[in-house]
Amino acid sequence: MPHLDDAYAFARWLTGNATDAEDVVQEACLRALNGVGTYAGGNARAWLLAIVRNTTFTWLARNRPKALVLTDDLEAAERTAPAPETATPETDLIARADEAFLHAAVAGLPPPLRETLVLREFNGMSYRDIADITGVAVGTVMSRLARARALLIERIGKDMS
Amino acid sequence: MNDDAIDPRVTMQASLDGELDAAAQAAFERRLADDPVLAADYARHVALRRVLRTKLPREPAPAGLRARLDAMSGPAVTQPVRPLRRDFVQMAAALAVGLGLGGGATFLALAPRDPSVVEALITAHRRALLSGTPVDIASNDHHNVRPWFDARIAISPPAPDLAAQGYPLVGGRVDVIGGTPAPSLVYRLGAHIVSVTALPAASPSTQASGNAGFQAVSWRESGFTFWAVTDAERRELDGFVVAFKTAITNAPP
Repeated sequence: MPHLDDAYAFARWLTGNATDAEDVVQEACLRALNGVGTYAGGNARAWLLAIVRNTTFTWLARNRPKALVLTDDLEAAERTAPAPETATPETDLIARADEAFLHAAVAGLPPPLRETLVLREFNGMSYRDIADITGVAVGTVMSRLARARALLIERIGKDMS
Repeated sequence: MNDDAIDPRVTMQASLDGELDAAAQAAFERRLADDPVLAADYARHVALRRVLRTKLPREPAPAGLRARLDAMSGPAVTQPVRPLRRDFVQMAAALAVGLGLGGGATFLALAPRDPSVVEALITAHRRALLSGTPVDIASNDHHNVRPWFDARIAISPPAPDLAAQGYPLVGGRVDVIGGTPAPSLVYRLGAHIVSVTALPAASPSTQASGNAGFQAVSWRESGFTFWAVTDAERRELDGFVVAFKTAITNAPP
């Protein structure tokens, strides 16, 4: 199964735990294998990650209804995320952030910002691919990345200094 | 395009992510040099990227999951997946042939010990020069270029930072050498550029050859056969190669 590690890493961040990620990836891969006829060319990795993302939403709706945030709430969460301006930690401080802190900071991002950041930093996807996977414009991908990174930097500045 | 019309914070993301073209990247780097506040913010973003990637490494998919999927997707189901990948390789090979004929037709008079590889490398370098943009990803930050290669062709060659030695990194591109995609790093060498291509260690390595104003040198290191190709003079190339080797030896990737 090509790109399985990518699919798993992405599902791990979307679901928040290893067991759910395994279930989601298994279901997504079976969907991908059965739907290989719908593959319309282009980046196969992005195609699989889009399936993982859709599968995660339906899987969460079925198995973890309370964890699923509806689309309207996502947009609201994104809007209310404060625009960080004050915290300006030194680069040394950022470099010293430990694993548990970083994990919690990324996991605590509003979902649309988190999935965009994860696709970029941990899956290494291009803006074009992220836009296709998450169904938004490239400009939105860029502004979400800017917000996500600024929020992480702000959080490091606030909690670690 | 007016730079000032774009939020510098958004341009900075695009620069960090290697999504700017060479001209926009150069404009951004000039702006970075002139604006200490932007430079400090950029440094924080670079630090964030490093710490995220080093401290939150990706876990591979569990072996049990892989095994279950392999078992479930018998040969009948996996079959349709394979042609896709073969198509891609064929497409890449066809592309390479097309580019070779288009860009290097006047340039096949080489007589080195291993003509095919050297020819392909020099043609790739020459094509890069002719295209006006010698790189697919423009970045002076090797922390950008390596993951870019890793994401595209699953090879991440050592990319030493040689700016202090006078050889700033320009970026990277994927060349197709002998039908296989290979990562090429591009450094500035005075008024010229040098392409450093990392081939698998088993590839033939000849000492040096020069032809039609192009110089090629190869050596083996860190599990790769490196080829440095440039249109600069041999003496300059040798200086670069020494700096490159020293940097890799002193700071293993």
